[in-house]
Amino acid sequence: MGGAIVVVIVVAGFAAPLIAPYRPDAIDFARLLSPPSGAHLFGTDDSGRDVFSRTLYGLRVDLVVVLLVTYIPLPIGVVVGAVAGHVGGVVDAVVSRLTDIMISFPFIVLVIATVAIVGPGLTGVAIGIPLVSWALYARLARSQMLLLREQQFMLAATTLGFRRSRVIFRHGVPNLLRTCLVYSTVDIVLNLLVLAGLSYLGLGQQPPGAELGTIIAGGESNLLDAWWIATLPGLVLVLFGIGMGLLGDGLSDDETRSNP
Amino acid sequence: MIGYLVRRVGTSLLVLLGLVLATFLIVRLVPGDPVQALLGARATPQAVAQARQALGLEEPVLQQLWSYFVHLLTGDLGTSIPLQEPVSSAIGSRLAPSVLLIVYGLVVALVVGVPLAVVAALRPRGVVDHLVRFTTTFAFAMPTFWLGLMLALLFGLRLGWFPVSGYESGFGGVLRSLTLPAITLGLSLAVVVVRTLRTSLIDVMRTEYVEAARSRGMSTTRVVVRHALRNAVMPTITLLSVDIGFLIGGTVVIESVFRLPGLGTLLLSSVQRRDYPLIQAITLLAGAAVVVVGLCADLLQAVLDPRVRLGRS
Amino acid sequence: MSRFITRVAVGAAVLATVSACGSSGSSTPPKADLSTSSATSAACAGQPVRGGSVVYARQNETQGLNPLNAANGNGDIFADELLYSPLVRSDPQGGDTIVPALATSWEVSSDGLTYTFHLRDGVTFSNGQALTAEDVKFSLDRFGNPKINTLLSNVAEGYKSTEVVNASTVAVHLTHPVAAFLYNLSIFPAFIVPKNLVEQQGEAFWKHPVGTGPFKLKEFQAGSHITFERNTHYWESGKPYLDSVRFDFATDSSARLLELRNGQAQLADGVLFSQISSVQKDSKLQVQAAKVPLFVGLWLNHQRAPLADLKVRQAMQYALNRKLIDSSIFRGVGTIPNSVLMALEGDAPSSTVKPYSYDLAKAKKLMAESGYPKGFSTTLQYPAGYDYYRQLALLMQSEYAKLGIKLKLVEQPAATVTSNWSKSDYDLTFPFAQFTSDVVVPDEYAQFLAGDPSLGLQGFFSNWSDPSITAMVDSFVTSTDTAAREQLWPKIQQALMDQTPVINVMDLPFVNAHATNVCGTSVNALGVDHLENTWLAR
Repeated sequence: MGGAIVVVIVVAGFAAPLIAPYRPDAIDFARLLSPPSGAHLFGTDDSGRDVFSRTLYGLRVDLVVVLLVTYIPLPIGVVVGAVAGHVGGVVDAVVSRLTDIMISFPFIVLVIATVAIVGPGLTGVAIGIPLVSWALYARLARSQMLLLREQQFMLAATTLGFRRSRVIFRHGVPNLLRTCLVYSTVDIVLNLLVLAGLSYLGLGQQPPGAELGTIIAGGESNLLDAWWIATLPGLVLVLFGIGMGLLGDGLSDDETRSNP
Repeated sequence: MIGYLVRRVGTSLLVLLGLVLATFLIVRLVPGDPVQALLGARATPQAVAQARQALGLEEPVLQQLWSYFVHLLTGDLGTSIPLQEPVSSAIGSRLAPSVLLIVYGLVVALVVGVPLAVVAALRPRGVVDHLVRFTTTFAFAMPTFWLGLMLALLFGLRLGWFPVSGYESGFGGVLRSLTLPAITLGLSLAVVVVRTLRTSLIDVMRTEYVEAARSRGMSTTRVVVRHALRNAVMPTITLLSVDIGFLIGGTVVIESVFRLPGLGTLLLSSVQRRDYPLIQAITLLAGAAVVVVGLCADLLQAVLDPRVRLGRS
Repeated sequence: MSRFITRVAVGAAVLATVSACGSSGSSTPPKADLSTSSATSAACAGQPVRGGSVVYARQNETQGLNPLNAANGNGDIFADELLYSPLVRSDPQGGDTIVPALATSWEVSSDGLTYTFHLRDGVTFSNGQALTAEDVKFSLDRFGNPKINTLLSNVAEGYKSTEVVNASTVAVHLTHPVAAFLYNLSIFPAFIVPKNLVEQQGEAFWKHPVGTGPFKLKEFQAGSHITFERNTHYWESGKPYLDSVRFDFATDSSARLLELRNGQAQLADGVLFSQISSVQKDSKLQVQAAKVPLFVGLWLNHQRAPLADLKVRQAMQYALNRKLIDSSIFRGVGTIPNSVLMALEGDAPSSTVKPYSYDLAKAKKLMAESGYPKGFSTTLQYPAGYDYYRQLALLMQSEYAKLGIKLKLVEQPAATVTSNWSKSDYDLTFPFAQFTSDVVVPDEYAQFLAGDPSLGLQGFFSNWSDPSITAMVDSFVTSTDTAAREQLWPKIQQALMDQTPVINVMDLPFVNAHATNVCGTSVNALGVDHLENTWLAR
């Protein structure tokens, strides 16, 4: 169920140019703020743009950015955390303090500080989010590695005289990757919410470009007369989040069943 | 105990030092000249000199870092050039709404989260559990700014129970003006509370002494309240202390939606004004709050539960 | 900060009430019906009564209360207007005349170099201290000192000194005649403050200011609100009617509308054009449009070769479908301009100086004759936070595409747009989100745009200049001969229209809204509220 929702939304987003009935920036001043109808599923905004088409195109921007900022830091964090967890000692202490520092910054505050440095736009968000999230994966991978290190098969591999890198990457990482991937389903939703939130605050995607947060923010001033501009794209965001949540639950349930 | 305390405080200080260094870099990483960015091209030479002074850009970098650090120790966070007032006083006048919002949000999260977690944990994988799980998934997926807008529309405008935005001081004023923001903030955190507490409750309920209590004929409610809940509270407190960062982050967006004069809106306007000393100070403060709350939670836990300090030594 | 923080505007401040028009559900936006009768609700028929408080949801945040450092535009200026008074002021009921305030009468010497003001008797500051001629001299010397009056030193142009003639008379001396001097003296940099307190307290004075305005400061919560209470020493007897006024800083247009709709605020400024119909649907609310010289000013950077081409600029004028812009974006409350500047006092009527009409064929012909027959690519910057700029930018993008002009749109925070403009770092821009003149007469903006190049304004950063127009402007601003000025301005207006160094897209009113039981909501020619006249019907 969760998977199905996610697939539909992802496909709809990436196929936006094929599905969208209008160009996202096509204006029509004869049809301002028209309510949802057959011609305009999500209605039109205050420039007569089709909200449904803008939502699809916006979704594409959101998905691309969110996939990048989630799955680029994941391998980095996993490698750093796995090595630190297995090697221990000074390396572990340094990595732990570094992740502590990164995690201490409230996520959105750090991303806003990054935006303050590089200027508003998706670039700031794309730099700011990975800056923190590698540390989350590193911490997760490290704690998993600490558990794995003591398990029979890992100890066996070490006593057999395998090189440490082989032990970590051939035996350790595959086993802790699953936990990290499960966590990434939560992370991806959090990142999407942060991205939309920053765009809503005017720090992310810059209008007139379409992005779900900017579409919602743009509809705010007409919320009383044209509820659909802010409400319907918001529902798409919620739906995606629910899909990912269910998907993550499914994955972690499988896990609990396979490792009782 | 003393050893653990010293170690724990020591690592926190180390992290704080790291935070200081990281915030120090903010102004230095701005591409181009931060003074020009702040004042614009037509600024007078005096204004530029004054701003360089205020931003501490005149000395060699290491010297700058040292004086930044020394000033911090004396409580001097610099001066905001656009606001023409010390950063500490600008922050001081905005602190109350943010802190009250976080505390109120925490209360909402517990009031909503704990009962839901308990009913869900009573019958894992039962109908109620699934219902709770679905509701929390839904709440988790909701962007806070969108939820805030919808709450303001429903309870502020349609029903008229609360102001749609703005901040009032005094007990009654705070209660009126912060209720909708606190619900918005608290709901997103309640999700975390429900999930963690539910899991630890289920674990605790499976332990032998709860089984024993049950077998002696104690009612389920009694078991939950007297034994299970008590044992599940600690992990939840730890988790909440970790999530303080999440809460602080949430206030930025929520303060903006509800137009509250807190640190979040101050941070945003500082970004727009390129007021680097303020951005630096608020970022540092937010980070430090997370570290300090985390430390307090750990120490509290160490005092309450000796296993912690033994286990770690 | 730029010293061209533009403030509210001027013109024939005709108060108009936008009446409900009750159309809904149509695909074309309802057109707001702007009747010019100052129709007020039935509740306001009686005599003003004292008492009560109002909350005013305002789009600009107040940051400081020093009128010589009103760095935050209207957020600061409107608060200053409640706290202080000038010697003379624009008629609080609107119109272009200058009327007495702290000075009851004045004489101008025949050479136009000395203005003698007779001070009102028995005026006291809000702390009970009497107003003296020394206070006036002190305040005007600050006004005339460009080191103190950094923000708007242009309005103190020609100021030499003030002389205390006797306890109730001051003489102001100028270095050369300044036609607009009384207008310049009527606005916030020339507000009168108590000499002894400002000297004793320095910067701290502005945290607890004392003035002769209708209200005094009660509480200031930065970033949230500022509360004023009645100044019992106010010089207009019986006023103000209200016990207190609170400005809520609601920079977000939807927040203002929501506060108004749920009764949290009784007045709100900056009602968006697209929100007018929503306010009209609420029978407890009333929309008020004040005709002020606010305009949508499109600035062209003449350092960019295509924009320095006169035919291109004229083509851009003819390609603007202003009727469509007015009806769809401004809901019919805009006015099609016949000037490149905002509507100012002394403007010739449309029959004399003709507006640019929408004529795509002519625009295409002009483009073909220009140096850029195939068009060109360029960038338009516009301020964030104002829906109508985004709508306008999108509309212009599609209209100009028909001329081969490819517009890239860049939305920026308003402060960034202004700052880029002041560095000439733009192609096309809307430099000020609320683009208004500081005075009702054209002197200020004529000098900004076409004044002496030695002022260093580079044609108000359009980097355009025309010596013949500059010569006309110079004689216009120094002439004290009213008849000659009345003849000269339309010529300058026409010359600027022909050259079109910049483009006035639309003249706009200030759109405010208030609850129907709020009475006496007059604004002056500069769009400034006179809340001392405001009262609450029971």
